[in-house]
Amino acid sequence: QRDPAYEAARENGSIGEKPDGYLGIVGGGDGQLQRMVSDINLKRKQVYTDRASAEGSTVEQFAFTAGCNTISRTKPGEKYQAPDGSWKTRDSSPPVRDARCP
Amino acid sequence: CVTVSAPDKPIVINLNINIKQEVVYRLDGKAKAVIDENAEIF
Amino acid sequence: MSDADTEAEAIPPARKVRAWQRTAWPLKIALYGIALLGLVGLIAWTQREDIARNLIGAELERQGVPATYEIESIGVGRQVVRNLVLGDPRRPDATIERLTVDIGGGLFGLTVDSAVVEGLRAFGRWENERLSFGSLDRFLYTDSTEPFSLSRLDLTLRDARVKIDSPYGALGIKADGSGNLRGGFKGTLAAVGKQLAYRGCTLDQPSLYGTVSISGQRPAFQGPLRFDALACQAGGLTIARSAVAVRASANVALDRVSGSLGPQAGAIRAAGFAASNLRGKIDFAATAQQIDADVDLALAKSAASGIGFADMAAKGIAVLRLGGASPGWSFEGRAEGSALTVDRARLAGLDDAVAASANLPVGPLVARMAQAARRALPGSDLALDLQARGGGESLALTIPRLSLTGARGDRLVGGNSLTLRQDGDALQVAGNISTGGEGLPRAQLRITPRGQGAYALRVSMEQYSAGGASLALPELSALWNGRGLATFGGRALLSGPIPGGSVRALALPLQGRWSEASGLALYDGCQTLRFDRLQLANLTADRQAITICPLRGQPMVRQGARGMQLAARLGGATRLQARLGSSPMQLAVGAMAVDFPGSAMLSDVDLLIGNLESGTHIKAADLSVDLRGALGGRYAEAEATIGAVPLLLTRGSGSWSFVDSVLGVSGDEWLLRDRQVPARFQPLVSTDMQLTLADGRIAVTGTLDEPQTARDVLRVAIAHDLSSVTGHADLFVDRLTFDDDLQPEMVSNIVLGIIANTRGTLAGRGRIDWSANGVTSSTGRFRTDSLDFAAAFGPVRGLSGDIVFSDLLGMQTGPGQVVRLAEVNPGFAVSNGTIRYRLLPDFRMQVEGGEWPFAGGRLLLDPGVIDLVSEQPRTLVFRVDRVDAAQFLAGFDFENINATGHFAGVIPIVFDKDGGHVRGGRLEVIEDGGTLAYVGELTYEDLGTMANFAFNALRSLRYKYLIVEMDGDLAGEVVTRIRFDGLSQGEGASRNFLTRQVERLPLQFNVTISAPFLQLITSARSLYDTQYVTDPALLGLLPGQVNNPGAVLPGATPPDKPGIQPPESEDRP
Repeated sequence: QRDPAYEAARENGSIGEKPDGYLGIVGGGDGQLQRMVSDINLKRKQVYTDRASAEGSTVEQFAFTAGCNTISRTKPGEKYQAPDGSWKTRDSSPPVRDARCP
Repeated sequence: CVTVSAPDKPIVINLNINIKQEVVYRLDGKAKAVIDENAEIF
Repeated sequence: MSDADTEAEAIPPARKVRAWQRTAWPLKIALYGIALLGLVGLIAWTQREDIARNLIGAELERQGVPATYEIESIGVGRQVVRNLVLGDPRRPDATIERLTVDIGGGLFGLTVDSAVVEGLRAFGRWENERLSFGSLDRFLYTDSTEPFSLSRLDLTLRDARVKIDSPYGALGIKADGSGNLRGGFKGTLAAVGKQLAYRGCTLDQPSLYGTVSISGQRPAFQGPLRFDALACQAGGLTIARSAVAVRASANVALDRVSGSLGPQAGAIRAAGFAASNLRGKIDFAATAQQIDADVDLALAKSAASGIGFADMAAKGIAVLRLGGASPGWSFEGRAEGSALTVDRARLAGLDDAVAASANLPVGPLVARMAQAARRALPGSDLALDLQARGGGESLALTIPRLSLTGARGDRLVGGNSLTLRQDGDALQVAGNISTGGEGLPRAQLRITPRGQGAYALRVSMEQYSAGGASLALPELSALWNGRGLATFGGRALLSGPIPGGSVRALALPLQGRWSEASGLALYDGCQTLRFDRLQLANLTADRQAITICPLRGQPMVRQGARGMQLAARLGGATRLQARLGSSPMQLAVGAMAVDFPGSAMLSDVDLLIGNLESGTHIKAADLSVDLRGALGGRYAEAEATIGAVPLLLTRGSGSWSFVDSVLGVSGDEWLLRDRQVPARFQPLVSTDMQLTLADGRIAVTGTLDEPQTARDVLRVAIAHDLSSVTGHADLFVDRLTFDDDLQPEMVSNIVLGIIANTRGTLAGRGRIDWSANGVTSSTGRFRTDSLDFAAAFGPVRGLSGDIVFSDLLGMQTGPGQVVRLAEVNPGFAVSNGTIRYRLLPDFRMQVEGGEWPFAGGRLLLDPGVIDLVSEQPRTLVFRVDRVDAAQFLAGFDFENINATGHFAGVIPIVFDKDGGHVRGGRLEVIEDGGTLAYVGELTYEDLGTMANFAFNALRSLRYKYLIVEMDGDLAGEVVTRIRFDGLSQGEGASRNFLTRQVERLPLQFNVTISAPFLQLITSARSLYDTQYVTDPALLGLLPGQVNNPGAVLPGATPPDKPGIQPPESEDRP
């Protein structure tokens, strides 16, 4: 039950999943899109922080692990960032992910 | 007899401690759970 | 015998007699008296022969008149007869007590010289238009056509009485007198009746006394005619006891009578008319065809339906034409009424008019007119020349000049060439009337008939003003079509009071029609109303014009059986300029339709008071006005900005009222937006907005809710003075709770992406003051006892404190604001922090200081400026104060190192959207160092034999210098380099020769730890939080647990050394 604006942004490829577990803006995007992405990332960070301290891992590690999953779950047409930093459009083939992803 | 002469420069002992954090595999299950529980922000 | 015949024929033929029917009563009685004398003369004539024989009896027999008599003496010269009874003896037509006749001979035969009639009793009867004396008629009526003339007879009458019966009443006549009938006869005549009735009129106790004289064959009568009362049904006329001095004389042929009448009539009453008495003189000359009279009559205290004159006089020539081609009458002369009297009822009418028009523009005018009329009318004098002509069904009055002159001589009403014609029931009036007089309006009215009862009227009135009001009718023309319809057109120039204000020089067009059936209808087409000044309460509009048009094709104003109706619409979009108090005001209305009684609908109303920036601007798409009860109505799609209030009120709907010049607006629904772009807060909705506008001051109260949750965000109370354009707004946040339903970004979009997942309640109040040139000050104090939220530098729990805004709208505070943070977790949780800060313009925060308890000492936040909104990284410098080495190192969560001593230093942390990163953290030992013990196995490179040896001996060292350098991600990997200097043997170490050498050795012990900072802190927690023990296995510290050899955590510097040498020592629990 994603916020419609967020859903639309994913579908039109203006935002994409990053390996570090957070959302990124693919290109440009107005202030409101940036504010929306920041808001979602804040909420992801809070979840990561809560879970990391419970799991005794660093927030970064937890976020990274989540990133592996969010990228693998992207639907064809959605955007994701490869380890080298370039933005890719997911197609039917498996996404290019960080080597350390399980 | 053996004299231990104080070396002219301090003896430097470098100690590198590197705590390996190979936790990604361990956390994978937890990460999937988190994503499912908070579908609205993932 | 020819004289007898000529005498008989002299009596007027039957035809003439009928013409007398309409002669006035007194005249008729007089003439019959004379005719009677003729009868007596005839009797005397019979003594013509000298033969001493009873001439009287012979003549009677000859005429076939039954008579009985006693002869007293029959002489040659004189014959005397006694108890003469003429006619039926049982009901004699006439009796004579004693008749003496003297006979004289003349050249041509016997003539009667004189006769003495004593004790005559005659009984006449008036029937079928003729006076009949029964058997004597043969004497009286012969069909001679000779003009009547009196005989040369000396007649003496003593105690002659005649009784005449008629359908109209009985009349008793008594006559005495003597003398020659052709001249010299003198006698007295008395005629008395009980009551005469004729064509609905009754005359009570009529009596006529007077002297009769004949000279030169011309009979004359003089004497008073009296009656007790005259009453006629027609017109309800009654005349009380009156007397008329009659003086009449006939010509020789008795066919022309002239004389004079001097009426002294008593009280006269008629329908709506009354006069106390009538006096005057009428000189008349009457013939059978015509009566000419010179009239000079005066009515005293006459009044008709409340208006009358002390004296009403009429002088002039009257002509009455009897019979003939055109029977009728005419009068030409002059009438004057002096000292007009107006009774109280009429004057009261004036007061009603004044009351009815009290608060209309014409109010003061009517009042002044009434007062002037009340002063001028009574006692004024009327004078008019009159030519009147009547006859049959027609009447024609012509008044060449008429004037009503006030008591003080000024002319009140003037009229000239006034004519009135009536044929049957068709009435035609014409003429000019002008009014004037001190204090009264000066107007001209011209009436011109247009045939078949139609009229054209033209009215014009000069400006008439009183008490600030004035009315001028430059021209008003009306057409009456004679069949019940009047149409009129023209214009009026009007000034004066209107309810709640006044208007000056209103050019009011007058166009419309009136008819008995459908009443008044005004304005079939569009009209433009122009005025010099309209003033309502403290609103004044100068030189404006409004065009109003009919609605649904009906006349705009209708006044009929159902009262006054107004159905009009604005000609088109209208714009009015005005001033409200001292501030300019502009009102624009897109369209308006008025349906009175009922309601008016306005659309696209735009009211601007003052200028666009600081003025008050109210717009409404729809505005309804209920015209039935108090002024009020509803509005929809309204928008308002008030002075410099940073609120834009939109999509408003609700009701409004205007009572006692107080405008009250209540809002069922209003949406409030931030006037500034980008908006500092999201639109709020209010369902209880109340606005009042009175005496140029606006007051607004209302509760503003967040639209989706309908939860109260704040209460607002605004006060604004329109003329000085200053005001203030008080904002009350009683209890604003953020939870799953309501998040801050729903109230203000600015915080989206800055804070999220907010939980907690805040309260406070604010105040904004403004003046003509904008907001002058805005302050506020807000407080929260516990607020949790996620921020870029990590989640915050339990924020509490007061914030006092020096500039609420600019989100600026004074220095020394304090906030307490129960816990903030930039990657590692630090608790019980306090930050002193100050909010600067453009959402920048000046940190004045911050403090957290940390590893036994304190973490102090250095002052600095943070930009809360922008995405740029922000550097915060934390200063470490007296941190305990043991607690700090324990944070690295390996128990192989124990150290004591305190150190301080600086940890600069750069925060960006990914979190906090330590850049160049540097701590140094303070005081004289501390001790260090390393208990674990360590991999080391070729330390050199001395180092290896020394190191193994270092179970407990003392150090003088400690430097810790840190770099890395708070939420991730931190590389910490620790360098101990000035080492010496610590207590408990086995001392031997060798170790003493070492003590003197300058030994440097550098430890580089790359470990998650997290452990640094959480393990610190394990010092006091026993259950929080991290499981080494979890940390992947245990050997063999390496599932992905060579994996390097991103961001950490790949260690160039192999992992930790598996410790030989056994696991610690």
